[in-house]
Amino acid sequence: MIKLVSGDGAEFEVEEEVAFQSKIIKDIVADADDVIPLPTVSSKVLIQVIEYCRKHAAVNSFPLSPSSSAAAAASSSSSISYSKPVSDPALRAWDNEFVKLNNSSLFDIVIAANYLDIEELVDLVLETVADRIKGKQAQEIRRQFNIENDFTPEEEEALRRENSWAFQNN
Amino acid sequence: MAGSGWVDLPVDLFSLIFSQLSLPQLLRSAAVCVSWSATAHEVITRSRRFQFKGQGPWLMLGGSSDGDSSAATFYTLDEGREYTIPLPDPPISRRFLIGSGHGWVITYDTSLGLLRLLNPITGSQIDLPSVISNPLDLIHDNDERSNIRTRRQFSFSKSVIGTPPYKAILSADPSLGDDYTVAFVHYFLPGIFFNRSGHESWFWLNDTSQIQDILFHKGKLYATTTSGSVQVCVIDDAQLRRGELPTFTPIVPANRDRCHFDYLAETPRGDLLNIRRKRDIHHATIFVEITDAE
Repeated sequence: MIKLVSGDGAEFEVEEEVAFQSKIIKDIVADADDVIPLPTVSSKVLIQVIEYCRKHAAVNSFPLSPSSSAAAAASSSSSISYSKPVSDPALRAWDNEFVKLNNSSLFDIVIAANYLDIEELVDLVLETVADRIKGKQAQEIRRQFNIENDFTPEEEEALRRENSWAFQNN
Repeated sequence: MAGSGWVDLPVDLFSLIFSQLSLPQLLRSAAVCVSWSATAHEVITRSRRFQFKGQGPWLMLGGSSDGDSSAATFYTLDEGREYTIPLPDPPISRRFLIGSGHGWVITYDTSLGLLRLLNPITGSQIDLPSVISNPLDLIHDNDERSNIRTRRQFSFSKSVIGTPPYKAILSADPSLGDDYTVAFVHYFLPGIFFNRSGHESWFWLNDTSQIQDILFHKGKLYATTTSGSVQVCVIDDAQLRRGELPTFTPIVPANRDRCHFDYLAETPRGDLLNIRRKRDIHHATIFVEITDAE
């Protein structure tokens, strides 16, 4: 077992394979003791990250469920493959539920995941954010992500004029 | 600043978000705030080869719907909407559209015998050597066995110039500053014509049977022929300077069945496909067969 300590002092004992979803922790444990302080990660965020790692560690140790191994077999027999590796559809569905969080929580998670070097979690959150941006005008993006418009009217006008076609309403 | 933090994400993470957006969505995102604007700019300029993974193909619908002869309307498959983009002169409505690639459109002007590359987003244009003022520099393979090659000038007849090529292709994005090749096939002439960036004239590759389709894939020129073969060649500057033309190597052998048309297509992840459409004597499509050409 490995002990993770959040910035606010909460301790979490997790199995090695869960903690090793983080490449940083894997590297630290290789040459240090098993208590890992994570001063920049709050307990709230650490709980969410551990939940993610626990799920992914469990699935990775039994990589293919029957349905996904069938999908992998179908894909390897075809001469055309797709850019994404075949992932377990059940895990994909779990991931989609996991990221049903507000943008502020997603931000905290992606910063922690980036710090802990959990590449799949970083990608998952940033893909989700990209999906929330798609199809939106600047004003809608500001509202959704709680961002203040700090352009001067002249700057904003110049930006819009430069590629005015991209700002056409559908 | 009050907010959820999304204004000061590390640039590396921002670039992962921005790379999933289409170009118009990136432009709109750059208008969100000063920080997003600066980051979008930095992400694109830091890597000129910034990949828009979220940029799906666009269909060019020709002229604009409101009759503006200097604008073109594009339909985006991913967003399911149209954009009307103003384009530089000469008016796009008076040019033939003969091909596209790497974000550029290839147009043909029948009065000048001129192929032009046009980037609809930046408004940049590149005039290729005119087929009228620069007669084709034909390097003709006289005798394959003795390997004697002679250079002779060749010009297009009026009727050839007045008819647009039926397809033109572009090997690379000229705005990245690398060398590129434009190739075209014409209804009235066999073989393939090509121009390398930096060369003043066109070369004619006619060591092959009648061409059906052409495509650049991973730097090589692929062609399908009416005899059903798929051929490939590499266009090499050093070889051209020695006065030699590239030669085609068949990768799919000829097939006697002529009631088909072979197309070439590249998938977004970079597979090369040979699409064979078989037609009956009334030209109705009987079947379409897709195979991996490599």
